[in-house]
Amino acid sequence: MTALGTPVQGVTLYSFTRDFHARKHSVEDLVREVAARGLGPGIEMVGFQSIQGFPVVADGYVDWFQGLIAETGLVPTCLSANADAGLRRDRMLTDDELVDYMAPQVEAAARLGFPVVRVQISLTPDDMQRLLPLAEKHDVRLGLEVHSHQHPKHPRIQALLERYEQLGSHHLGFVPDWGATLREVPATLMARYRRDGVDEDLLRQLVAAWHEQDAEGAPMTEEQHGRWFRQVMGLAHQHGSGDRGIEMAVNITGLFGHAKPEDWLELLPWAVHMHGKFYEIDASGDEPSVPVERIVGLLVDDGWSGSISSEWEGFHWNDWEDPFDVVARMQALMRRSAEDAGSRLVTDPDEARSVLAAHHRRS
Amino acid sequence: MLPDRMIEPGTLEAAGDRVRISIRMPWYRALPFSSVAGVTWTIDGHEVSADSLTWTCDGTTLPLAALGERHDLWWYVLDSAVVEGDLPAGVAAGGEHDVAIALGLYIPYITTDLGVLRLEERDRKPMQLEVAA
Repeated sequence: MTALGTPVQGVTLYSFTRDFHARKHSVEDLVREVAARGLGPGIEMVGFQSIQGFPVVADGYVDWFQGLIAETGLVPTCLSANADAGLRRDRMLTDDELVDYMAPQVEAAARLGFPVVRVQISLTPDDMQRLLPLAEKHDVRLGLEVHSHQHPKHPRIQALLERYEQLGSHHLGFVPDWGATLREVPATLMARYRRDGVDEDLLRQLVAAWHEQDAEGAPMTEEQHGRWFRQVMGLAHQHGSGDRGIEMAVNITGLFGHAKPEDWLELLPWAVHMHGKFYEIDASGDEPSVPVERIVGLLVDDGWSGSISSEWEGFHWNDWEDPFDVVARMQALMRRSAEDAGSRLVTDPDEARSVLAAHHRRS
Repeated sequence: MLPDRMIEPGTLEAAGDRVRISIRMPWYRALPFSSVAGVTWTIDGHEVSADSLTWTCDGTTLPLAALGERHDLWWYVLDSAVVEGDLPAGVAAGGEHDVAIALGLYIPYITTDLGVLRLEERDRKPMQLEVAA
């Protein structure tokens, strides 16, 4: 029997985007607040968000950041990099250019002390294989994010899995994003659309479209996703909200994925880190759209002991709740879920370092 | 993502026959200038001529139409960009005006069946038109 997993609690600074963007809190403020409120010990950040000039990172910044980490006792878990294949207007980047584009981001993560670099779906199995020597050199793990509208059974993810199994390196893996496995459209998004005066009939039809697509199953082709995207844009145009059609289509078909929580199991041996994506916590303390309890239960039962960043994306539309409070309530839900499954979440920094060293096979 | 953050309050200013405004990125991370697909700017319904627009960010000023080629320059998420153009005839200096900005924004890591994702974000605010001394 597999020993029960003890995942490590943490948070990504992306959850606090609204306050950071408003220049209300600096990165240093956010890191200190995370530590003070016990929302770690794991800490993740997005390179292109938190670091001006990224991927160029000055030595002085590295020293400052490592000092801040030492002082707060937090544990760096993941630096999120971006695979900007659509950087140019005249053409997509070639594979050579995209691999070159990723290299300084991987190096920056290593210098800052992050054991995992989140990378993105534009990278092919060949690209990942070409980045492997760099990951080995710096002893960082490249985790390709499995983010809606992709999902574990999507052909592109399956092609990566097949390559990982051939190469057999623990330096390549996945970062599952729980947004790929939703069970309902977030009620807070509908509340925001209602506040903005969006037609009630359109709101009903957006939810109905999501459920129709859910019945069809997570998309296996880009054509299928494109058809859904156009369907939602069409609904918006028909109901006088054409100017928000793209946004609605991105939300309904791009953020709220249709895979089942059990689908993650196939990827768990390669899950280097996770994005505990969530949108809202209701009055009972549950997450009505992301099945947090079910997912944590699966991880624990499967013996998975990696880091989970609570990633609150409700901020896209929710400007009425405090992000630190929402994250705290989601983490309480994760801790309860792990305990209900007979285990627990790791919240002690020293234990987190030790559990993650084993997870990452670092001595 | 954050369209109501785009127009920065208190930044509408006329100088001679030109008018400028400061805008924030409606996204969460730095993007290259080449991600800016276009700006449509109206004051009381009068369009600020697209051909007259310039973009100033991180110490660089370019004609708006030149941004597409500059994937080597970056709009950091905390930086404001100043958009400047010809003051439309019919807009009187001083007083309150109805200001609207639409920003096209390519998201370089998200591609769909329709190509690189292009968002169209809109913001509209009443603003005082200050006249530069």
